[in-house]
Amino acid sequence: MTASAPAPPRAPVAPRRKPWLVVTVIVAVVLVLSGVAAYFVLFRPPEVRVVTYAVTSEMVTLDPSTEFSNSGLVLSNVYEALTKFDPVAQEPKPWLATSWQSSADGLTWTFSLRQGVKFHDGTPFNATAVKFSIDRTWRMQSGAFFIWFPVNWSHPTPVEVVSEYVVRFHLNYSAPMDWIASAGYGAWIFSPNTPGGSDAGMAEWFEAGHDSGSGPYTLVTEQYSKTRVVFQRSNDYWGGWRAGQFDFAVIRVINDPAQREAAVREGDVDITIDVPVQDLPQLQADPRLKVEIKPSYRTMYAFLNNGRAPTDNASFRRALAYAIPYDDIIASVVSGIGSQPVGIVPAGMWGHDDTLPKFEFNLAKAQQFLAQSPYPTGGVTLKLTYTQDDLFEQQFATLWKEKLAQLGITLNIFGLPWEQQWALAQAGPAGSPDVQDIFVMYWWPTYITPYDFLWNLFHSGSYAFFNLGYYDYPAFDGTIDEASALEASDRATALAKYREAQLMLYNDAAAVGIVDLKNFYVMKSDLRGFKDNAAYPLVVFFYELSR
Amino acid sequence: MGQVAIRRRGTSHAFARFIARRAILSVFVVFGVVVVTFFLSNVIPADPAALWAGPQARPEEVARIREKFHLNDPLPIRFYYYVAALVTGDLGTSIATHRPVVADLLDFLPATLELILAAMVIAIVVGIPLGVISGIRERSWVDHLVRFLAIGGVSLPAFWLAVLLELVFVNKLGWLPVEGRYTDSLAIATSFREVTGFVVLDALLQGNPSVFFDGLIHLILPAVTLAAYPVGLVARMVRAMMIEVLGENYIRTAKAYGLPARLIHYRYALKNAIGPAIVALGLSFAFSLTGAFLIENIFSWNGLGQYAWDSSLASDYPAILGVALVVAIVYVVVNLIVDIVQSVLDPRVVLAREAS
Amino acid sequence: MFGTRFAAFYRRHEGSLREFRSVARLIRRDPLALAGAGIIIAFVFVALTASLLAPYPNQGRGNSNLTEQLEPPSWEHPFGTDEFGRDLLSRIMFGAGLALQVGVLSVVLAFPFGVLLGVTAGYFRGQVGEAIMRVTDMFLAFPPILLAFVIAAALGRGTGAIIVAIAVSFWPWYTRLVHAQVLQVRSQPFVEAAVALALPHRRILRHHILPNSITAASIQASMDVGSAILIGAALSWLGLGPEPPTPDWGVMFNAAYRSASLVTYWWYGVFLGIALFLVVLGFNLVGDAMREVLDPKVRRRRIW
Repeated sequence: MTASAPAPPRAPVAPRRKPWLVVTVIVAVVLVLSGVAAYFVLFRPPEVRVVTYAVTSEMVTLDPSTEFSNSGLVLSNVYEALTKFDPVAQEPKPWLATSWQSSADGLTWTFSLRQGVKFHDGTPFNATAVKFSIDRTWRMQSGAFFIWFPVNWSHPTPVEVVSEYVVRFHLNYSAPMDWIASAGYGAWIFSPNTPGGSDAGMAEWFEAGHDSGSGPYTLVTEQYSKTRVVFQRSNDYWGGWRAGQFDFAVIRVINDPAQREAAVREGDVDITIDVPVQDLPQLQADPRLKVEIKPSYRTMYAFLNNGRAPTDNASFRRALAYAIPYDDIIASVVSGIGSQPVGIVPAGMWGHDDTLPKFEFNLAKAQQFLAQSPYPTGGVTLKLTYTQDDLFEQQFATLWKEKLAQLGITLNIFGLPWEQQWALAQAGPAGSPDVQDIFVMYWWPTYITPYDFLWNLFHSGSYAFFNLGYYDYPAFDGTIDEASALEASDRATALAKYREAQLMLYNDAAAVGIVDLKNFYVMKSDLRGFKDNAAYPLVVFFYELSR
Repeated sequence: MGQVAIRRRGTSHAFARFIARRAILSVFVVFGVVVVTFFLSNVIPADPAALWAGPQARPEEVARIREKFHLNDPLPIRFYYYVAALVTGDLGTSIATHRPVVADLLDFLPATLELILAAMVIAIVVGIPLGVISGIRERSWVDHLVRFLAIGGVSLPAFWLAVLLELVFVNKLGWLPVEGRYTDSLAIATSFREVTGFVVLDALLQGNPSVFFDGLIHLILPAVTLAAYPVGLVARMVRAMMIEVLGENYIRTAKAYGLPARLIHYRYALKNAIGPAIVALGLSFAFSLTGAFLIENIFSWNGLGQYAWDSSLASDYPAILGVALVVAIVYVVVNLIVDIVQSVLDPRVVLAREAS
Repeated sequence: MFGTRFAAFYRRHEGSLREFRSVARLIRRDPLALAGAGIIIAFVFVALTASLLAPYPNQGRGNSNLTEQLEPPSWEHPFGTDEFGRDLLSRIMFGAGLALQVGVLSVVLAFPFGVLLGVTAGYFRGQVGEAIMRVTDMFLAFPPILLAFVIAAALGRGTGAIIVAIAVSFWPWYTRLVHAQVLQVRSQPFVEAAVALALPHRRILRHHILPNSITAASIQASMDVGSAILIGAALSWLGLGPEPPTPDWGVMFNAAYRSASLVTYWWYGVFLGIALFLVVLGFNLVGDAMREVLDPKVRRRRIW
C-alpha cells in the first residue's frame, strides 16, 4: 500500500547495549558470593562465652530503689542484698551479710557484713553503703519500699552504722528482718558514690542503663534497650570465677511464646520460660533440650465481687466455685504444670496448709447451692475480667463459661490490658456499673510471708486496691494482723492464725484459687547449674550457670 | 526534549508555590494528629500513674505520682505542658521505662525503617519486572500467571506467610535463623555496637563482615514476608500503566517507525509506568511503620509497631504520642517527596492541582 | 400501571443497567474473575449453612471436647482439632460468616461516608474543601494500629469495634479518590453548563457529578473488602476482636500461635491460613477484574 510513499526518516539508532549494566551485574554477583563465603569462614564459634535468656515482656525501670516489675530479672544479676532466700532450706541465707541476730524483744537487729566486697565503681562495700541504700529506698517511697515499714524511721538512727562492717536496725515492731532483707525487690544495696547528685539525679543515671551494684555482672550501658540487656562479667566479684562460667549474658525480649520455643530449640537462646505447654512432651523428648518444672509461689485466683449482687450472696458464690472444672484446668489448660490450690497461700511456701478444705468440680452441688441463693434457676449475667494475653486465664475462663451455661448462668469474659483491668476494678463495687463481677489475676509475694497474700488480697486496708473481691470482714483483718505480729517470735501460733484466716475465706467463698502455677523453664541441655528460686520469680542468676 | 522546555519555563513558580503550601499544610496535619492522639489516649480507661508505680505499688505512691505528672489537671492544661515540652524537642518520659521517649524511639525506629527499606527494595526489584512482562504480554498465560501471583501476594495473610516460610526455611531446611536482627553471641564476640540502629549499616561502618552478613541473613525472612504485599501492588500498578501507555499514540508511532521493542518498552513505557508505583510504595511506607507490627512480632524484630502496641496496652501515653508524632511526620514527608517525584515525572499533575 | 412505572425506571437507568450487563459479560470471560466469584459464592454458602453442614456444630460454636485435644487430621476430624479438642473444620465454617461480615460491613460503612465527603470537598471547594481534605490527611497520617486500639478501648472489643476501626481507616481513601475525580468532572463543559443554568446543587450532584466520580472509589472498594478481612483478622489476633470461644479466624489464629507449636501441630495454622487466604483471594480477584473492566483506559491513575 505504501510502496510509493516517501521513505520514512531513518530510525534513531538503537542504543548500544550498555556495558556497564553487565559489568554491574557481574560485580554484584561476585560480591554476594564472596560475602557469603566470608560469612561462613569468619563465623567461627566465638571465643567469648555468652548466655542468652529470652523473656516474655519488656524491661521497665533500672532503679534498684524503685523497680518492682520485669526489670527484677536484670537487677538481680547486678545487685545483691543482705540475705538471699534459700527455697530448699526455706529460710534466708547469708549474701552480703554473713551473720545476724536480733534482740530478745525483736526490736533490734544487728547484721555483720561481708568484707572484701567492692561495687562495680570500685567503692568498698560497708555499713555506710547499706545505710545509704536503704535510706534512699525509703526516701523514694516507691516500688517495694514498704518492706522497710518495720524500721522505726523516727528513731535518731533507724539504720545505724555501728562499725565499718556492722549495721543495726531499730524497729517499730518485731519483724523478721533477715527475711525482709531477702526480698525480691527493694532490698538491693548499691554504691554510695552513685553519680547523679540527688535521688532524682541518681534515678536518671540508673535509667540511662548504668548500674552501681556489687553483683557478679554489670550492665553494658551502650547496648541497653527495653528489649535487650547485655551484661558483662565483673572480674573482681567477691565470689570468684570458675571455669565454664560466662563472660557475657544477654536478656532478650521475645514476646511470642512459639518464637521463644523456636529460639531455644534452633537459635541462639540458651534458656527461656513460658513456651506453649502443649509442646511439653516433645520438648522433654528432645535431647538438645532440658526442661525444668519447678514450684513457684505464683497462684491464679478468681476474686468474686463480695460487694455487689449477685456475687454478694455466699450461696451463689459457692455455686460458682463448684462449677469450676479444676481437674480439666490442671490437665488440659496447664498440661500438668500446676496443681489445684489449697487455701490461699501457695504450695511450698510456709503458711500453706494442705489440711484446709478445697472446692471440687461438682455441678450437682453447685445446683444445690444455687437453689439456696436468690437465683435458683440462674438467669444472671456475670462479667469476668482477666489480663489480656494471658493464655491460661483466658482458657480457664472459657471452660468455666461453658460449665456455668449449664447452670443457666451467662458468663461474659473480657480480656483487658492489666492497667485497664485494674483501673476498672478500682472504682469499687459501688463506684461504677461497669465494675466486674469476677476479677482474675495472679499473685506472688514480695517477700516470703503469708501476710503478703492475705493482707494484699483480702484485708480491708487494701480494699479496691488489690483486694479486688472487695472483701471486708473485721474478724479476718484482726486475725491476720495478729499473726503477722507473731511471725518473728511465735511461729506456731502465727501459723495457726493464718490457717484460721484461710478457713474463713473458704467458708465465705470470698475468692477461689484456680491453679498454683509452676515455673516452666526450657534450656539447652549443655547448660549446667540452673537452680530456680521461687522467691525471685523468673530470675535466672547467670552466675550459677556454666557450660 | 519538548517536555523539559515546558517544565523550565512556566511551572517553576507553580512548583515552588505548591511545595510551600504543602509544607505549611503538613505542619497543620501533624499538629492535628498530635492533638487528636492526645485527647484520644486519655479516653482509654487506665491509670498511667499505676503503670509508672508498678504492679504491686501502694495507693499513696500512685496518688503521689499522679500529682507529679499533673495527671489530675484538666486535659487542656496537660496538653499545654506537653506542647511546651514538645517545641524544645522533649517528647516526654515513657511511663513504662522512665526513659525519655526519644531514647526509646531511637531504639525502635531504625529497626522498622531497615525492615521497610529492605521490603521496598525487594518490591521494586521483583515487582517492576513482573509488571512489565505482564503488561507487555497482556492476556497471555504469562499475564494471567503474574496477575494471579500479584493478587495472591496481596491476599496472603502476613502472619500466615511468616509461619509458612519459617516452617520451610527454618525448621525443615535450617537455612535461615529463627528470629531477631542478629546473633548475640556473634555480635559480642566481634565487639559489635549498635550506633545508628541500622544493623547492616553499623556493621559496614564498623568493618564487621560477620555481623554484616549475619544481619542480612536475619533480614531475609521478615523482609520477604513484608514484601509480599508491595510486590503484588507494584506489579499490578506497573502492569496497568504499561497496558495504558502501550496503547498510546506515540507508542504506536514508535512501533510503526520500527524501533526495537526493548527500547520502546523500557525507555518510553516504563518511565511512565513507574510513577504510580513509586507513589503507591511511598504511601505504604508510612503505613508500614506501625502496620508491620505482626511481622515484627513474629520475627522478634522489636520495631516501632511493637513499641506502639505495647505502649497502647500499657496506656503509656507519652510513648503513644511519640509514635503518632513520628508516623505523622514521616507520612507528610513521604507525601511531599512523592509529590516532588511525581511532578518531576509529570508536571501536569502539579499544574492541574494548582489550577483547582 | 405497573408496567409504565417499570418502563420509566428502565428508561432512566438504561445506561447504568447496560453497563452492568457489559461488566458481567466481561467478567464471565476472565478466568481469574470467574475463579474469584466462585470462591466468594462458595464461602457465602458455607457461612449461611454452617449450622447445618458443620460436622460438629456445637464445637463450632465453642463447646470444648477435652478428650481430643490437638489431634491431627483424621476421618472424624478432617482438619484436626484445636487446643480445646474442638473440630477445626466446624470452627472454620462458623468463622467464615464472621470474616465476611467484617469485610463487607466495614467497606459498606466507609464507602458512603468517604464518597460524601469527597464529593462535598470537590464540588464546593474553597475553605470547606480544604478543611475536609486536611482532615482526611490527618486520618491518613494517623497510625492505624493506634486508631484501632483506641476505638476498641472506647467501644469495647468485639466484631463491631473491628468493623468501625477498619471503616475509620478506609474512608479517607475514598474521599481522596472521589475528590480527585470530582475536580476533573467539575471542569467539564457539561457541568459548567449545568452550573451556569443555576440548576439546584442537589440535582447537579446526583445526576452529573456523582455517577461520574465514583468509578475509582468503587474499584478501590471492591478490592478493599479483601483487605478488610485481612486487617480484621490481624486486629482479632491482637486481641481487639471478639472473645473466645467465638470462632473468629483471627482469634483462632492467635490461640493457635500461642497454645501450641505450629510446627508440631501444623494443621491448626495451615487450614486456617488457607481459608483466610482463599476468601481474600476471591474478593481480590473479582475486584481486580472489575478494575480491568471499569477502568480500561486509565487516564489519571493518581490517587488524588
